[in-house]
Amino acid sequence: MRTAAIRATSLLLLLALWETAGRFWLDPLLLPPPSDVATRFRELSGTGELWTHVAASLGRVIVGYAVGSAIGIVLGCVIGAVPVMRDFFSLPIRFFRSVNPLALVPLMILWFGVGELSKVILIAYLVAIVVLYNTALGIETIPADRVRAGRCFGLKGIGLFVRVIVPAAAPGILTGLRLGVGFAVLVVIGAEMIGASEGVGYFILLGRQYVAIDDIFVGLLSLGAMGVLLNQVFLLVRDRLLRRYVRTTLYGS
Amino acid sequence: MLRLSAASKRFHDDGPWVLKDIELAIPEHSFFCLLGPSGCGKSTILNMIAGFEAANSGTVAHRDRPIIAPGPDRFVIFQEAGAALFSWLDVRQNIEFGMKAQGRRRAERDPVVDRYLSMVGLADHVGKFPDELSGGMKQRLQLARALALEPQVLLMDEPFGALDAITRRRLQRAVRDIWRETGSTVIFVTHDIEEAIFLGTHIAVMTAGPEATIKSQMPCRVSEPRDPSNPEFGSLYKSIEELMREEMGDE
Ligand SMILES: Nc1ncnc2c1ncn2[C@@H]1O[C@H](COP(=O)(O)OP(=O)(O)OP(=O)(O)O)[C@@H](O)[C@H]1O
Ligand SMILES: [Mg+2]
Repeated sequence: MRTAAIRATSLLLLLALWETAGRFWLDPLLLPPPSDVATRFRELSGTGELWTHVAASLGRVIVGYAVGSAIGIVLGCVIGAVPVMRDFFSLPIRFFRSVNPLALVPLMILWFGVGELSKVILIAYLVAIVVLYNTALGIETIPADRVRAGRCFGLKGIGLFVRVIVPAAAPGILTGLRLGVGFAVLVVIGAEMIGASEGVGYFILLGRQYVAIDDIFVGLLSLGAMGVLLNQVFLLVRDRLLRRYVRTTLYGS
Repeated sequence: MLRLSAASKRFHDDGPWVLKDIELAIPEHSFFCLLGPSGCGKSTILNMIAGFEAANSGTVAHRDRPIIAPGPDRFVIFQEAGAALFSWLDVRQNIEFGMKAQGRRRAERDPVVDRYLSMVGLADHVGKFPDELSGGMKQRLQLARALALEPQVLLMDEPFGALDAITRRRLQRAVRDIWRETGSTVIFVTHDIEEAIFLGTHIAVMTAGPEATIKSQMPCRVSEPRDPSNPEFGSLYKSIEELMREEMGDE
């Protein structure tokens, strides 16, 4: 309750500041006040134009995220659980982690064209890196006695892996999955700015070409809203269905 | 009988021998307490019996079968219960875990779970998760989930080291009662001479490492009550203290 009140206050203050700045201090052409942006938002969503773009971006994010997380979890499990694999992959992972995915956009377009595929792959790639890194870390940081306890129960191999290692690594896996949501929303825009005919990134770029600053703001706000919304969905699923696996991270250990 | 014969252990190929020619014969149904200075290799012995570590030479065998891997006939109660329990399972599920892994059916599991829940006094806390339990309750839970598999041997590595004196005493009583009731063999590592005498039927004292061995082994036949008011308790305490002092130097 208190948190909600503080969050609401922060939002209102920010809006008030923005409105005042846009209306009285700065050129509203460069910083349109929120009321103008809201008007533009109603226009754009009324015609459905905005939703086409949002839906395009959201679709790419969801598909790329799903593919990337699946790959990331599987690879992360292999890397975390098999010492040879850990050594084998450690250099490549460090390498790819330091390549900004936006730098890959031109390559993706050359390889996979300007269609959906290149964007989905780019998102999946980034999500997979984050998820696999945190999954492997989650497995490596399981307390040794927890695995030993599993072995006392007579478990080994796949049984040990499924019943003990994966649930014990769940906090790490879920951290990766949560970070992945944020990264997916970040990178989709970059991809859309370079070669796309719809999507929020494309819409923002269009705004720049036509100097429609309030369009740009509508785009930015939809982006932020998309990020917040997806994050909320993630937390909802985690806390409803998977809460038992993150108890120690939620409540301290 | 659980037997270590000429068992030696080192962790690196040309490192020092941590344990050298350990000879131990632990009878069935005994409560065997292992005492020794810090770092001498008590946990290492326990880990070899558990099957987590292999001896470099010599043999470790349970009922004449060499121990090559962990198994549900020997269960470890770890010192840090919080790390060893399954944090994503509640009290009941933690106890049930082993039987589920063995594929036993619910109708078969439930009475066993209930039995050990009440044996360790956690019946009122079935739905709680490990992070909602006190240190003593976590140790009880570890005990119950091990007991549910009815292991022949319980391996306990300073299980009450982190608890306050009263909880510790209570759990010592509980463990002794459980041992009597279940008839399992308990191998109990401790620093605390009093605890060893209170619980044990046998006590072994180790030498300081490296190349640690069993310095002395004795039966513990002190009559009840096993507390310092009993002269038998006092004299056994003194002789063990003397042995320990020889190993620890003057500190
Ligand atoms: N995994 C390992 N690698 C290398 N050395 C080890 C390893 N485990 C234990 N040792 C060494 O073996 C010796 C015995 O260790 P151990 O943990 O068995 O002692 P302990 O008697 O249980 O001590 P404490 O009473 O402090 O728990 C120590 O010198 C320790 O440094
Ligand atoms: Mg130890």
